[in-house]
Amino acid sequence: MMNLRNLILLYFLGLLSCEKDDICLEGTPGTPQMIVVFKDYLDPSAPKGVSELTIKGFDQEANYQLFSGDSIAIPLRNNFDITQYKLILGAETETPIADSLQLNHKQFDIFINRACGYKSNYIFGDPAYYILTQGNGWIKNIEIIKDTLTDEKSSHLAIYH
Amino acid sequence: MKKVHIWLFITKLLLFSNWAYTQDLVEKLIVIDSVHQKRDKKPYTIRFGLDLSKPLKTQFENNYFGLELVGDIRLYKEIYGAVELGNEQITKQSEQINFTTSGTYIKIGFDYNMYKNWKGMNNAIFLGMRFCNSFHKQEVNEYEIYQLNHYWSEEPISKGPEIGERDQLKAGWIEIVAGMKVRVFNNFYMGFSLRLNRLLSNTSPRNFDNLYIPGFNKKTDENVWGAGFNYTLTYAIPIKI
Repeated sequence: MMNLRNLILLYFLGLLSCEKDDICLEGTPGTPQMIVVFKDYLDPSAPKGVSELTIKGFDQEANYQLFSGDSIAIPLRNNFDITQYKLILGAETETPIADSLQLNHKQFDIFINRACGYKSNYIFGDPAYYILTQGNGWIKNIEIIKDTLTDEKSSHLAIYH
Repeated sequence: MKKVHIWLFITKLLLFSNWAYTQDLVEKLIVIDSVHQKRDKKPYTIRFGLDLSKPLKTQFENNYFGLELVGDIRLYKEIYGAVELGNEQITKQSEQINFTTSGTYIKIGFDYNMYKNWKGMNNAIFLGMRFCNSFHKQEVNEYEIYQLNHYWSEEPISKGPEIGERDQLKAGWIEIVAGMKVRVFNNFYMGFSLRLNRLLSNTSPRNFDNLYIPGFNKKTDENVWGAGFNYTLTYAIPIKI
């Protein structure tokens, strides 16, 4: 009988220490970013890339990106109703042109699974954006292409310049 | 016994001359049979007690409360009816989410004892099965958003529509149990059991999942299997019938 009792004790001690962890699989779609496309103001159907556009969030130390091209993914702020970006063309030159953009959005969070937790989706508010800079910037017009951000498969916002 | 009777009947037909001998044999067999029955008649025992591991864990872990009452009764030869009744509350920080699960559960089933006892003893090495149900609620306390881009600072979300309680949840599962019970002194028994759980059904909380189910334990992603154990101290009341 003594042996049995020892066995129980030993077994109990062994059980105290093991638990499996879940891992969020790579490639699980996370919180979608806003896909911005740059288009020609004079010919709205034609994409027109920007070169050396500095993108910087308000109150952020670091630039988000120095970007050249005609389509970019930009993250929206979590836990906030607004996201503000400064978009500066030719920041390195003597005559930089800056435009500031505020996006208004509502966030709703969707449960994925135990390992990944929640992701956020967004709906643009009304109005969806403000251009914060006065006078002439480089942005001529902005168009909301899709007012809900649920994935990164299609573009959400077009900037005409 | 029935088979023996039939067999004897056939031999009787075949061997008319041995009629007296066969009659004698039948009587002997009946005697043996009744002796056998007498030996099998043990007092009906009711054992009740509690799982020691849960109060122990309650003492040592801040985010846990658990209590489980256990009981079993010998129904027939080596078959025992068994029941566990418990209540658990646990707050857990999983990978991205801090949540609290609380609720009660009931497990009803049977154990089959495979240990040959000496007369009057009631130790057991058993295999068993339980049908289990829980009634619980889930509460999301705080969570971090799963993001691939970390440009903006991220703070855990602790208020909003997803924070709060999801109640009136249920889960059902079965358990395969293996364990043992050993008499330690007088009528006190100690035991442990290992359980393999298979989830059969559970009501999904709104925009969340049952990450933990009272009695079932941790539920992992897309997996219906779980495991558990208990470590019991029980008191036996012998009832002689």
